[in-house]
Amino acid sequence: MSFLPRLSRPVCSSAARHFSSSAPRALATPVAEKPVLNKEFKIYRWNPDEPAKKPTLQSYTIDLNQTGPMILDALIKIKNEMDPTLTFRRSCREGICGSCAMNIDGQNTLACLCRIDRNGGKDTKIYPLPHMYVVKDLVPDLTLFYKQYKSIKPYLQNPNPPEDGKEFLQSPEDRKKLDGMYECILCACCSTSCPSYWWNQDEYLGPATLMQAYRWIADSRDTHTAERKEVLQNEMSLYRCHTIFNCSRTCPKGLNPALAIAKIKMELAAD
Amino acid sequence: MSARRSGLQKEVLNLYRRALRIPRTKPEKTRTKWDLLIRYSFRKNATSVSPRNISAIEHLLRVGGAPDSVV
Repeated sequence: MSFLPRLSRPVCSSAARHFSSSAPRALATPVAEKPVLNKEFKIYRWNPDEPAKKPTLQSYTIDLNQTGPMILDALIKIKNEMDPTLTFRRSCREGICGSCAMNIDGQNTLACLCRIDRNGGKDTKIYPLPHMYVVKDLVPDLTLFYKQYKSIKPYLQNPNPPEDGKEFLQSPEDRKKLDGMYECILCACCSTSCPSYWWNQDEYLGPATLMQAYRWIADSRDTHTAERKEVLQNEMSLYRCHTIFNCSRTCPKGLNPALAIAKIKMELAAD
Repeated sequence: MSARRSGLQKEVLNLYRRALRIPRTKPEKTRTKWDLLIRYSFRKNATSVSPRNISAIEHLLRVGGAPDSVV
């Protein structure tokens, strides 16, 4: 079940840092048995093959001392050992791919970056991202989200190649303007936490997409800044943002989409 | 049958109507089979959910590729 060949000795002292979802039992140095710390996870289940059935919360109880520290570890353990039908997206397990975005205890976040609350008496509720169509269990349909991202042309547009034919140069100050925006992994946590996006998904672009729009507006190497701004100059695409700040509060990478949107608004107002 | 139809009922009927036209795009020989398949799969899905289970009907509409659905 582990992704890597089992090592003959522990990689580090912490028993939690193993690659398999449960602590291996056949280590060279036997570890003293830990006490059992059971915790209940209530997970949203819905199967598209039986559309007549309503979505339900299914509860799983697992021993936290036999699990890694993060919610994703618990989910993988449940899928491996208790219920193989549980469906969720995961990939990098270190917060760089954005696959495992879900709603954990009412907060949109990445399961791989969210620690398990070790209070055994309280259950943890896990739902898919809110206000998205559900494909199955914890998997939301992000088609529209990606379509919106595509619509802002998230690539360098500059018809004049650099003189040396190698690369576009940029001053350190200009590069600094992109900090806090290029790190976005498009996990959709911010967009799906925004009430404006919930009600106007079809027209409002949402914080994640708008922050990327500003990332390309702010880029000194891009020459299509005016066109990019022109596209946003309407009632819906940008101005549905009412500075609710749910996006900045929920971002698992600690970015600030609301600030980027405010900067776009300022630039558009200055035109 | 002059009852006013709800928006959802209209969407379902529109989907059925569009589906029933699909066999015309198929080769002459296979048309009856396509027609049978479409009628059968529509009936099967339509009778599998209660008419009050709106979210399930909307899901089936999306799966069926209704024109107004987002997906």
